[in-house]
Amino acid sequence: MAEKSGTKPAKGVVLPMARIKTIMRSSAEITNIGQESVYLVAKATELFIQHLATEAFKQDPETTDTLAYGDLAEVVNDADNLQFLADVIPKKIVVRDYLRMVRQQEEEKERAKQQSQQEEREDTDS
Amino acid sequence: MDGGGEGQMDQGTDHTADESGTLSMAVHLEGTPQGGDGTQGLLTNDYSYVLDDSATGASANDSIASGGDEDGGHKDGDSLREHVGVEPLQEQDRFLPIANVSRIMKNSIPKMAKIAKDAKECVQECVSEFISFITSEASDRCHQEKRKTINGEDILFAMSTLGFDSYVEPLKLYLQKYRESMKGEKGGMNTSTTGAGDESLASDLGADESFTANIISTDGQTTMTYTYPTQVQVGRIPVLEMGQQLQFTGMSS
Repeated sequence: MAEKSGTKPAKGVVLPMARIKTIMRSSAEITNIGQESVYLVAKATELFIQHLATEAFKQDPETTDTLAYGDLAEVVNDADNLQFLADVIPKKIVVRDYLRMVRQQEEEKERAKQQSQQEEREDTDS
Repeated sequence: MDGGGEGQMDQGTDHTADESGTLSMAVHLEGTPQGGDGTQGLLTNDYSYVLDDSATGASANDSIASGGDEDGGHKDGDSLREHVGVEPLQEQDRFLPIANVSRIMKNSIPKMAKIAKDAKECVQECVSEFISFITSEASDRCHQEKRKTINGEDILFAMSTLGFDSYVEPLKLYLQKYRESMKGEKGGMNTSTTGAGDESLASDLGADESFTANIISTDGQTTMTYTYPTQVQVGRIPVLEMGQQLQFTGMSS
């Protein structure tokens, strides 16, 4: 069988199975998790990391050789099957822009509130 | 935002303080980020920052006083997402070790390339999210079929349903080898048991690029060596190169 020597990963897994199992357990209301499924998830995770890294690296123009956060955000944006990560990797914005957005939202809310108040008044009057 | 004092972002994720002092941060615009509800999302005290209420130019240049980022940034802090009905995990349990993650990443890109720190952390989070995603889909199916245990088929089905069907073929092959190796174990292998009982296979920072699993059957004669490249091109059909042909000579005595 796979010998677990000091240096070679057994069964070719380089991720800690116990931790993977922990994460799986906390993900859903499940009673039992088969050993096979932990193994498969481990391998799938490896594939996933490789996939992400490769795709993200392609985002870089030929000049830079660093895989950066923004590259990952691009990848997630573009791929359909990675939409579940949209919340995990939101695109970064500058605070200035963010504050502007917030202010806009609040103004809109104010406007909407005032409008509905006005409508109420009109209703009661009539 | 709160007037004057500390502005706290709710449910933000990653953020970096640029060397130039520009504050760029990833934000969720879910609802109004009042931040007054006590939870700081991912931002622990180390990461809280002060925003000048007079907005625009001035505050954009504030930099975050960020705390130590020694072990990859995901140190203490509250849990990110509270799964309904399940205890939130401690920070360190929610993610896979960053060393393992970044090693797999490094093996996927050209050797001289670098990976930004926040990119590593980001992938770390994505991975946990991925695991949760797959698992909950598989678990749903399990429930539907009134089964209590998630098995390999459920995982494969979930992968396919969620748009990762390019993974399915390679995973089937892995699963096949895994089953074969497990069967071998049950036949009473005298090599160290790495199967049933042992779940925590320690991460291994010094190993070489390829995985090698050596299998010696009970009669001591059959050796199956799998050597496959660390990188599997997911976009294409599986690239699993096996070092040798599989040979079974009587697994059972």
